Amino acid sequence: MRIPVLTLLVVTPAVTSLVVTLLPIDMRTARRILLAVNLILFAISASLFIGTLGPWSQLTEDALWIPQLGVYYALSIDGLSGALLVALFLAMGLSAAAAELVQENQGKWSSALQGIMTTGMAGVLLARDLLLFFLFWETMVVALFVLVLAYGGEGRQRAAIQFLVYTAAGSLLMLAAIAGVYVLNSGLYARPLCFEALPNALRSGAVGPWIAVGFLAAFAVKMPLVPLHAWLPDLYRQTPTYALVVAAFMAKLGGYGFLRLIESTYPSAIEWLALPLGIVALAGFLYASLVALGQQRFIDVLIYASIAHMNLFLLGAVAFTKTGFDGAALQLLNQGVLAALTFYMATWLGQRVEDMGGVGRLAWGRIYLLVAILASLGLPGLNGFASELLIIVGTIERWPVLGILVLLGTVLGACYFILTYRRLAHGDLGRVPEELPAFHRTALAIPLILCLLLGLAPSLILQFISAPADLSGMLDLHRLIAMGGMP
Amino acid sequence: MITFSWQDLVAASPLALMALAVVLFLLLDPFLRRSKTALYWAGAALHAVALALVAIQGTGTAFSGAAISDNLYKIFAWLVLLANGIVLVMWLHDEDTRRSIEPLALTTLASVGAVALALANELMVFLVAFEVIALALYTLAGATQTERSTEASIKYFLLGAFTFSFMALGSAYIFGATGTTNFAAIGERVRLLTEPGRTLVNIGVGLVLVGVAFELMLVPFHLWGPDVVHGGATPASAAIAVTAKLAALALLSRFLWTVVPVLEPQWTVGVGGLAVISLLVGNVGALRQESLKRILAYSSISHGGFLALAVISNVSAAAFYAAAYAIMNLGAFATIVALESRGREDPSLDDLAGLTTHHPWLAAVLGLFAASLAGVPLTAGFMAKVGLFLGLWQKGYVALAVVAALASVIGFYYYFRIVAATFNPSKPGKLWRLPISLWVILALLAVGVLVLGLFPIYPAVALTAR
Repeated sequence: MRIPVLTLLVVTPAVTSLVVTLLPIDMRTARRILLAVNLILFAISASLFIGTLGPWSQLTEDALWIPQLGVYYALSIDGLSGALLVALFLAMGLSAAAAELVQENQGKWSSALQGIMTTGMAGVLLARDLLLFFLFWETMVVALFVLVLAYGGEGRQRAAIQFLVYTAAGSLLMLAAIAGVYVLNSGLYARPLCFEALPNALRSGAVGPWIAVGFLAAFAVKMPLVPLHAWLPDLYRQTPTYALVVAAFMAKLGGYGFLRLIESTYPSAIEWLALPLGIVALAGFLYASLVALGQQRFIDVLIYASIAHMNLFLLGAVAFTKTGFDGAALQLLNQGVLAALTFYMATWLGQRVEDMGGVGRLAWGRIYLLVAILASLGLPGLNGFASELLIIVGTIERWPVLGILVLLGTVLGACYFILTYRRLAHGDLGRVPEELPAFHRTALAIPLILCLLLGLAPSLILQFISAPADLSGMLDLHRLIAMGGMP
Repeated sequence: MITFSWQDLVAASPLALMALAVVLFLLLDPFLRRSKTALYWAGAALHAVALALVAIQGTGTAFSGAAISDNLYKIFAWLVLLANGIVLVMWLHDEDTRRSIEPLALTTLASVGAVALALANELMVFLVAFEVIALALYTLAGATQTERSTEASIKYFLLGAFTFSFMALGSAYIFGATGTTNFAAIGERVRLLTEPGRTLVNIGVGLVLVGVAFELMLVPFHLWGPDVVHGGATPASAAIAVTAKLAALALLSRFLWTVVPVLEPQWTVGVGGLAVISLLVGNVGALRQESLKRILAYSSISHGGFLALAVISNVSAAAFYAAAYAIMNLGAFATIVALESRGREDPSLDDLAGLTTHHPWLAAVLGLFAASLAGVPLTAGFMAKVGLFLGLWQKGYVALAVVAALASVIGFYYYFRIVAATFNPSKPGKLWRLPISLWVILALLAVGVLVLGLFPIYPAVALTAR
């Protein structure tokens, strides 16, 4: 009998965290177990990811789920989902480790909810059937909603409901779009809702673009694209920071969905949206960067920086060039790792950052913070740089003017990150934080090494990521067709 | 001379059984002085027996075509009996009423009317059945005899009687134009009708729809809804919001698809329009409510809109939506009964504070029912919405699908406000124990929500009126 590896990868986070919660062990041991389990999952998914180029390229699981609708329980892994899966499990493990840094807000069920959320996110990455995808999508949303309600800060209720309503607006439009896909495909395909059948629906005359817009709505809210971002700062401020280490990954899934959509739709269904989306994304990038510049607290800077980075991602994705697409995919992975790293650091520094300025006096803490910040602002040699460069080049290839404006924005990014570092490390000596304990130094070493690796040799990863999303051939073909004047 | 065949008796057996039981309950009442609990359990068992009788009935018409036993009838009869059986268990936990027999008799009578309505294949039968349910529920709404419940009862009665007269008039128009009361025969003759008969039938259908819309709480015939659901005892509210709607839905499906399928373009506009307004009014109305029952009342208005949309998309989606609707709403009302068993009438959102710490399981099932009402995946409510969206797309009503999707977004806000309220910290109050029977129905309904959410079966409903 074949072992259902993918299913195990998906359900393990939820199952282990529930078991650990129910077992009569103290919270510290429970978190250590979760850290270990997720690191094992990290290793397994990493080997699967490397294997996607060769032996495991066909790793799928398939079972009929709802016969009447032709809905399948279909899971599969490829380079893009594999890479993000690796980052996801790392984030979950780090989140369990980071929770040891805080005493308050540590509810019994918080790690269980994080586990369910991780299962939802892993499911989103591996699902190959639209309804299954939707199901996992909502699972992660509801888990985070309950987590914030149960263990969030003072304004949690408002933030949580606001988050849910924003997300529901997007996801219900996506559901309506899924219904549209079903209707368009049901006569033609035995599996009307599988990913392979999606292009057919998206390219069908009058309805196709609207279906694409339905999906876009869900992903744009999740990323979040700037006019739709209002839920994110409120929610992140209310979420316990250690939970944010993994919860921040959710935004990357909006981007993941977007890349999948581009893969299956290019160019007919959303080509007309490319320039408007590009301009909105650029405006959002600049806006979020400016807002980040004005923030006082470390966590707020991180929040707006993550919005800015996701808008930058979108710009690369909608440029519809090979370089831009690769940069966008890499940006997702980088941001997944960086979000885990930086929110971990924020957990360590605590909430009261404005009166803190002594990190520079700590031997280890200083180095860790410096590397995290330099990676985030895109210093060459660290991971932020490679993806941003690819995105900028990709944008310039398509729209030179927008590309130059993006360059301006990246300068802003360097400004607010450097300023933040100066404030934290060499600012007024309000309170010197305690040195980063050895355990956390070890845990944080993993994302730091990844940052270096991704920064020094992005091509190593890129070959996996662009393999499934091999737009180069497809894009050139479409471009040829377009230039030849054919419809 | 009227003769009954064997088929007639079989078709009428569940109705006859329950009608006899109603009389028996009322006769037994004076002899049972103290506790009437046993009779309530007998009533619930009776519903189970009737359910089994419906299951073993064959298909076909009876009483010279006045009654029809088919898939649609069976599905809705099951749902109605299941719903009212659970309502009877809820009545057991209502302090004021379990010492009297009237709620039992009236609930059973409502079941009789509702099953008869699903069975109806004839204008006269449907009118009588409609009135049987309505009379039972008017009285039931006033069962607690508080000021609010009396007001609810009178409001329900006056408006109900008013719309019933519209329905009767509409039926008369249809009869006048076609010369028959049998649904199948009407269906055939409408097809051949020319003007001015067509117009007459159109007016008649419109008037009948007024009555159905009243029972489904569709805007603008919804005005009684919030007051009645809020004012009555909670089990009565459950019967009004669930059983009556199921019955009305059975009638609507049969009436539209077998009597006047040729007029589909006309009634699609009418019913679809009412549904869209109901979605908006129900959802917006629920936003600022504090009382749980009032939230459920407005939610019931918006779900009435969804149900109506489901009917115009296809009957199979409507049947599934009805099942999901019944299960999740009964669950929500049963949770309110559980909250009231603490001795606090009409629980509001504030009364939910501390539920997650004091009664985590109750909070969990309430969360599940709320999630299902909102339409979160893995719950029955979600799969019902999926069926509805698919149906609307297949018919080409894309705009309706989008409006329905947007309306559900508003729903997320107030349903999850309920969930959020259970997380509020509370003063350490004293724990109260929930009776086992209430746990059993809550667990059953919760399992039902999950099973229908994981493995949905959209029943094949073949509507052939012979």
